[in-house]
Parts: sequence; structure tokens; C-alpha cells
Amino acid sequence: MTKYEWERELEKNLHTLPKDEIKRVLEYYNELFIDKIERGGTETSVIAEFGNPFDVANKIIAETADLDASDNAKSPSETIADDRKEDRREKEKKKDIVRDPEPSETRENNASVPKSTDGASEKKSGSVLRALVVILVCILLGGTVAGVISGLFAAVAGLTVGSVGMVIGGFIAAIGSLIAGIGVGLWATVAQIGVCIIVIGVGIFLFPLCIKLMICMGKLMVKICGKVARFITGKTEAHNEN
Amino acid sequence: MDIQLKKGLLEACVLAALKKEESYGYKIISDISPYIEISESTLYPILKRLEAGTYLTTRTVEISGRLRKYYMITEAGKRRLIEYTEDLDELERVHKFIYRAINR
Repeated sequence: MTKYEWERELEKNLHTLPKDEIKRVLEYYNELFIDKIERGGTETSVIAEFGNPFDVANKIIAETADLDASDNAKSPSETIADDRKEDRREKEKKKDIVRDPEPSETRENNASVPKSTDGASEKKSGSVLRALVVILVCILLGGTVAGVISGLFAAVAGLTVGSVGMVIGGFIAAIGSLIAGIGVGLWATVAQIGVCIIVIGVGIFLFPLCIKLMICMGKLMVKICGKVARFITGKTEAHNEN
Repeated sequence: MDIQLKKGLLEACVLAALKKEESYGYKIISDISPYIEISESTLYPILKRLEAGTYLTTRTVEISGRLRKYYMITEAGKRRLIEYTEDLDELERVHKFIYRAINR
């Protein structure tokens, strides 16, 4: 095989790439070819070093497709920042009492699984279809779901306010019964104050619990929205995780 | 070497090869080859990825009657290289862990 023939084979096998990209690949190999010849190589030995033009083309296509996929999501520097964020999140998770499983979205972007370049148009029409499905479901169930969700949030918020009220009310009632009880009787007063202390205690106990519950519900909502968004924009990304 | 492990290392190697001064394809490969196996078809996508991440820029120069593409590291590329030492430290600790396990 001559260099010319090798180049034409390579060009042929790269045909799925855009023209300017193919040009860049050929220029890259041409430059390397000249450098190797200058340092004593022969035409035959150099193209042997390059390898089979079919394999070379496949390798470059695979890496380019992988690059395009991760470009659509985020730039390499963002991916790296995400990896570090995820490392820190994982360390913080261990201190948390309430465990919240985090989505490992960034791993998908790092996985270099070769994809066919024809998948790009398939993905687009597929995601439009999925978006329609989600919209339909939202219209049918939306009212009920929104009602249930806002009801839950209202309930928890109410409980939070209630627990604060218990603490404040308990204190006021305790002081009140102390003042009023001077005339009524010692044991009655003590019993009343005891009840007030219990109320205060329950309130103090409930308050952080409610806050935590609200945070968890919030996180869950965010996660669900994330999952729906991912479902719409690219089920194929999930399939490439192995 | 495992391909995922190798990919990250090679990106850092290329940046390291460019740290002191700009370089070109053949020279990058010959600088890195003593340390880790890297072929022309491996280098091309790495250069592409690094350029996309703005870790390097390129310029084409005429040298003795033909064209050569030079690659230069950017400030972001230098920062990325430093970030990489964190990963390398972690890698070293993992190596020790694994070696200790083998030698028991």
C-alpha cells in the first residue's frame, strides 16, 4: 500500500464525519508522516506504524462521537468540576443522618462508550416523543398530583409552625399558671407547669424534624424533576452506563 | 493498562509535554512514549478534547516549505495540570493500598 492509498482508505472510512473534520485528520496524519520520513522512516514503515486505515478511522470516529455527546451536556472542565463536587458531596453524605442517594449523572459523561453517529437524529425525535408523553401525563394527572404535593407541603409547614407555637405557648402558659397558681393551689400549679413543660419539649422535638422533612421533600422533588428531564432528553444516556 | 485509567493520564501527559514550551504532534508522541504507550490515533482525539476544553490553542506555521501545527498550553491548561496532582496523590495512595494487599 502506498501513502496515497492509505490516505484514501482512511478518508473513505471517515466519511461519516463532517468534511472539515476529515480534512483536519488527514492534515494531522500528513504532518506526522512527513516528520517520520524526515527522521529516517520509509513510506511503508510509516504507514505500518500508523496501522490499518480501517482501525484508525474507527478509533477516531468512536472518540469523536464520545466527544460530541459530552459536549452537548457540558464542557470537559465542567465535568471535572462536577466530579470534584460529587467527591465532596459523597464525603458530606457520610456525616448526614438522613441518607439521600445522589444521582450519578456526571459518570455518564465520563464513560467513553462508542456510539454510532447516526444516533444523533434518532435521539432528537425520540426525546420530542417522550416530552409529549410527559406533557400528556401532566395534563391528565397534574391537578391531582399538584394538589397532593401542595397538601403535603402545607401539612409539614403547618406542623413546623405548630411546633414553634407549642414551644412559645408552653412557655407562656407555664409562666401564666405560675402567676395565677399562687392563689389556686400548689399541686394544681405544679401539674399545670408540668404539662406546659411537656408541650414545650414536644415542640422542640418536632421542630427540627419538620425542617428536615421539608428539606427531604424538597430534595425529592428536585430529584424527580431531574429524572423527568433526563427521561425526556436522553434515555440513551442511561443505557450507556455499564 | 485499563483504558479509562489511561485516558485521564494521557490528557495530563499531553498537557505536561506542553507545559514548558509549545510542541507539535510528532514531538509530543516522542516525549510521552518513554513513559506510556501512545499512538497517533490515540493522540488525535486527546488533542481535540483538550482544545475543546480550552486547555490548549493551536497555530499553523510554515517550516522548511511545509506546514506544521503547533499546540500551546493555556492558563486554564496549566491550572488543570495542577488540579491533576490531586488525582495523582489519590492514585498513589490507592497503589500503596493495592500493593500492600498483594504482598500479604
